[in-house]
Amino acid sequence: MNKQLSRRNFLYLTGMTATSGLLAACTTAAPQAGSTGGTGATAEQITIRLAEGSWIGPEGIAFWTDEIIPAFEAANPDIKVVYESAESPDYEDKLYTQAVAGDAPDVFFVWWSAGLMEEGQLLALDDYFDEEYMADFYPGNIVGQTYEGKLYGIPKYISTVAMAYNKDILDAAGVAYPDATWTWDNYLEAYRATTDAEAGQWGTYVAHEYPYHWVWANGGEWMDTDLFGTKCLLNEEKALAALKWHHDLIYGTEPVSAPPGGMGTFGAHSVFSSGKVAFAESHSWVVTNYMSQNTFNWDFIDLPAAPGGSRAGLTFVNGYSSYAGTKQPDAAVALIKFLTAPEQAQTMALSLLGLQPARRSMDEVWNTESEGAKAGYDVSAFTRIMDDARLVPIFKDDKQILTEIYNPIRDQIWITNELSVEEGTQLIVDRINERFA
Amino acid sequence: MSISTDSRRLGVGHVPRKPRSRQRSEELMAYLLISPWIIGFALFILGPMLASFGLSFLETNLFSWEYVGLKNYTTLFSTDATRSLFWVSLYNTVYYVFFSIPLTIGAGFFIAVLLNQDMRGRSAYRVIYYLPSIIPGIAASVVWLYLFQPDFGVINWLFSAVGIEGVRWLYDPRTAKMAFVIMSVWGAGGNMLIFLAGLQGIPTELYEAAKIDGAVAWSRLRHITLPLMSPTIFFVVITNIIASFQVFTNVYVMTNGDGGPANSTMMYVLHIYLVAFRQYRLGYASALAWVLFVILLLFTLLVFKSSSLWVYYETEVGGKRE
Repeated sequence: MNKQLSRRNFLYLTGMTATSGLLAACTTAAPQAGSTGGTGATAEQITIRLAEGSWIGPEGIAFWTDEIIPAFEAANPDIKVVYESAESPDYEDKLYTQAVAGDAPDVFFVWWSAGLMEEGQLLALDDYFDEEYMADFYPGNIVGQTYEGKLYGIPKYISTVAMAYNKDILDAAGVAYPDATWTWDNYLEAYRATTDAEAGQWGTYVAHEYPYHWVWANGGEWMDTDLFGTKCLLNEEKALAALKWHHDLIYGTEPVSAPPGGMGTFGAHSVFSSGKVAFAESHSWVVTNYMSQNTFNWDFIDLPAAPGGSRAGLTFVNGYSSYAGTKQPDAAVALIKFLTAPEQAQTMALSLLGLQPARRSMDEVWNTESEGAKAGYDVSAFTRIMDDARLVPIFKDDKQILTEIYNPIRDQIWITNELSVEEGTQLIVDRINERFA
Repeated sequence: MSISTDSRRLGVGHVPRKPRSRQRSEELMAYLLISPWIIGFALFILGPMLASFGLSFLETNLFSWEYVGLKNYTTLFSTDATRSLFWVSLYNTVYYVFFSIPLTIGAGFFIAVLLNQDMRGRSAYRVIYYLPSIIPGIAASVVWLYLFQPDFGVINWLFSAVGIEGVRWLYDPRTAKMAFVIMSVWGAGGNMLIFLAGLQGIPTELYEAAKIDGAVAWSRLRHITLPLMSPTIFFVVITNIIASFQVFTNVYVMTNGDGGPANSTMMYVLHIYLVAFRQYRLGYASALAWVLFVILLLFTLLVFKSSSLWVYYETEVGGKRE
């Protein structure tokens, strides 16, 4: 008797096929024949994966694939490095997903890996890097690489802040060029003298997205700890005063800064290049951008001191880490050591990447041999601030705090001016502290 | 049993059955042809949906998980904005849908009616109006960022040309959502294409007969075009509601992923994205996704239920199917 394939049986077979496919996709790849394990290694050579990027296009990628990686392999002939691009703005999502799947690269560059650090997905590096090695890095950059007393990353470069000034605007207004002794009040005078709102020219542009060092310079604090704070301290007098002083630059009786979005460019980092702002706090990685984009005379100088005389700088987390599940930890650490060695820091500083070295011993290279230095700009303003630079504040559950509490209220203070600094800051403090109560 | 015996037994008009082997091979071929879609559906849609449903009862970042029952759902519905942005994001999304749907459908229908006329260059116009809807979302978003720039954007310049003071668009919570509504009209070309197909299915004899009877253009539109286009409009309304509720790309690009200023453009799907892939709260994000599914289902059912009042099918007589 002929059997017909019933609909039920067909759906059953399809479901089994689909389930088998799902289960097959969950298994890890078997090691290749003749390998010593890990990512397809041969008995003679270990292969590890490096995720990196340049964010300046194909020539930046070639820097890794044609210069850095071959140099490492030449020095370590038993290790082969496979390059993976980490340039996507969503790379951290990809890295997270790879870690969940157990397939993260052996070594990766990442700006902020708190999620992976807290979940034990990063290789602890304490046994590989001693205090003497780490002493050459600025403390502000090390803070973000440690968790519960253990080291999980080595800084790659520094991103800090100095003041850029437009010499042409200052000359036209008869304002003297700033020097390292200038305070907030000196700058306020200069801002007022160089502002012509009707002509669309401003004394400064207040980058409200990076207010952290204003608070510190004035003697205030953001939170109760250096990292993963659970108590917000912004409503204290000195912190509030610092925020209000800068807020008045935009919304006070004599505005000297365009409101956010009020410049003909997008983002705080490209405002200075418009040529319509006399002074702008600028990050060290924009030096080569300014050199290629600015059509006027300009230079850098130290950040101003607060009225009390103290100065504070800002730095951000970034660095190389190794995946905790790497099958080649020694090779991964060897690559990290190579990438963060003084020689590579120098190479990165002097290359088209133009990255400020994270090592103190390389300050002189940045100050005298970097592209900006050779062009005659005072890029050493970025190194002079580093001893006073602190890591950008990161609260516990930071992404949630930013999305649900800090960013919306910040926008109401700085973008729409719906809330006064006092009101909005108190709201931020109350909600953050309530959350962690 | 022979075929002739079957015919006598079952009466006149019965279609004779095919030989069993041929019938079986046709069945197998049919199942084979639809199996790729079914397998793909099971693997990439149904499977992940069921997995996300399971995740919605967990507190998990995929490295660890804890069963929390309905906690994600109760947190979601909290009115405390520091605990949940559900109501804020839902309001923003409904606002966007409420204004963008009539605009995009109306614009698409209007253009389709115009371009259904016999005129020179009709094909070129159709291409021109359709092109914006196929431009990648990110590229379009960057263009619209410049258009909405408060100081030098084209939109405020046009306002100033007629003596109207420009607004701050994406920098003002009062106007940021409306900026995205305006931008949504850019995609009316997709609706135009569907409406054009529907218009061309209307018999021209109806219009001729109406003209002979003295019907003016507005009467023809109201009594012929709209009723006969109602099934097409119904389809477009459903699909546009579903798509509009899931607005994401342009909001993500144009607000730098923040949904600002002050969460005024925090759309529902952007909120899901930030919870899932910035905060790594996959359980809560899954709960948000399932609530969106239920909301969309309710909206769709509502539109389906209302269709008996305004959708006319050609096979209906007196509102009833023949």
